[in-house]
Amino acid sequence: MVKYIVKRILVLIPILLAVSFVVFAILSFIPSDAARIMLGANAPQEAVDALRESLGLNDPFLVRYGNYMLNAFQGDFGNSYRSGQPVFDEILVRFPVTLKLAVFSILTVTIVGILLGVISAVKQRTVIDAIVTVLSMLAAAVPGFWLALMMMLLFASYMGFLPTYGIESWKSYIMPVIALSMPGIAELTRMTRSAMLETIGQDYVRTARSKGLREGLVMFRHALKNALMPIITVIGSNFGSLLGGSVVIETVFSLPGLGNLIVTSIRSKDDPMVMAGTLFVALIFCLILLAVDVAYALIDPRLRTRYVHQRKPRWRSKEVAAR
Amino acid sequence: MTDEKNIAAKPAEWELEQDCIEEERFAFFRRLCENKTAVLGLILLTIIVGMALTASLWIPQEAVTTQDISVRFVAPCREFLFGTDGFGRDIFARVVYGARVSLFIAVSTIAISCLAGLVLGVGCGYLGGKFDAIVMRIVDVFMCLPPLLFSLSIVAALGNGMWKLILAVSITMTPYFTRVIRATVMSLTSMDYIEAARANGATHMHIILRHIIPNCLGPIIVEATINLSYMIMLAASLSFIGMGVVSPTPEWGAMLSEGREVMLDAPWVVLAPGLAIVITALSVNLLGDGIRDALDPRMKR
Repeated sequence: MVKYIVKRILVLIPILLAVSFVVFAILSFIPSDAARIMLGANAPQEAVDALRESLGLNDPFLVRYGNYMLNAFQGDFGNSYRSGQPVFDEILVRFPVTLKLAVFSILTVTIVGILLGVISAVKQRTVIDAIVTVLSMLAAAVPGFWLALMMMLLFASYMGFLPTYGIESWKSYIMPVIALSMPGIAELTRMTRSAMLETIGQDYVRTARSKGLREGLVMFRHALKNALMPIITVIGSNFGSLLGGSVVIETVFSLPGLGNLIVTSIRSKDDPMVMAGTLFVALIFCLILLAVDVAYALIDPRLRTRYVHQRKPRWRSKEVAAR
Repeated sequence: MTDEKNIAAKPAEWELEQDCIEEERFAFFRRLCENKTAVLGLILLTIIVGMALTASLWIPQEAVTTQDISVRFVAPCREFLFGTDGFGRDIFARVVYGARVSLFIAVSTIAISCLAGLVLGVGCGYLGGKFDAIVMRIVDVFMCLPPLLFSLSIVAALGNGMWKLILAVSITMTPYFTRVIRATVMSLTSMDYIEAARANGATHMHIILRHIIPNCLGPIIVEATINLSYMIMLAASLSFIGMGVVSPTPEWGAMLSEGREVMLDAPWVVLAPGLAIVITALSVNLLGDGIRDALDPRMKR
């Protein structure tokens, strides 16, 4: 298992290198003049030219990328054009906000989604099931940022008991978390419901029932546990889209998070900041995907044995046969 | 494989077989029509698309951009069904015309990324080998960034505008379609009828065009409709944070972005475009689920 994880982390390195290349290439498309931005519009042309030269902005693309990566390997991801500070200073200040937002949201998604899904499956074809299904259909169709606006109107402005902008206290997280987790809740509820319905019909559930196990125990021990695989997939993929979604939600609520930082940096053409921020998000995203795969292996004994015994030849032959 | 001689000898049986094939084709529509929520989605979507397409017949094009300071922030009334915004523009007209923009963006991104995904996915799944390995590694790299962030950086590089937004979102979504189509193609290539066609001396082109692609269409249609509402939201989100379609083009996300500043004084400015997104996404989702269930009845619960 450890071997597998280490292997996956090693695979991440070339992928992240490639991501850095792609993002660097995209950023160098932007017609911007970093030197002009740093010195202001009134600076003399000679000073701008000199700064361009010293920043290496006149070099060809591959040379600039090479230089950037050489510095990056030494832990230097450049300084922000705006503040002049090393970019990771800012990123590390901003990251906790995004992390808190994402973790609270994924917890909300997991708890509410699984709970509603299980209830809906257990009470199949009842009023409760119908209500949950309709609500999850609706929630899936509501864009998070619009929900955020509506909540701001309702709770913050008309009733005035939740803060609207920035971070004052834990209350500031309530609306962003709801807005961010709503699409995930909808998806997870539906997924849990259909996965549960599949396992509820299985023989082992009937056996568990017939041996006199309490219904709650049957549902959570037998039905839900076997339905976990698709549920984990959905939670994992949601964590990724939460990272993306937080860009919009942070902008709506003016939260000083990573997503907000990236958007404002894109607007102000602060390339080193965009580059480092995007790479950072990519790293987190990949680590989450890895964590999901590990969670699979931990939960499914069939997969676990595969990693422990490493039956590679048989695996390969199967792949060839599939072709 | 049906023998030529047999067909000539037993025309009745052959006709019966044709009937069965025909029935199988209609079975999809029959199952779709039996699904009440899918029909509801289809009706809603037809109304929305119909309103968008016929907009110029009953709302003058000028209403979308005409600014009239004397009617700023008029609450919804008979003259302005959804009220007016800060420039005195009729929000109803802008929402209806916005449907054109938003739906066009969503449909064209789906079309472009499906087509690109089809070419790459069929190439990967059918050819396998080096081509597959290389393309899949690139796909892995592209999928390393959350879709919204990736399309955001592309839009930032290309600049604002509808076509640039479409291009950005298409590039972002192509890897996801490639994955799905590749998996489908890989499961098809081991089928007996492909083997049989190959034994008959069919060229690769023939196999791909006549056997692989038609059999991929089901999963592609499902994937496309299910992702359509995601496209609408992605495009709206990007426009909302000011990286996509910008005002005065009446795109729903851009309208929300504009209305956000003034929503405390005039909440209707953000109400109508948002509801338009919700209803459109809802109807597309309902229809998408219906299509998925109808194409694959085993999935239905």
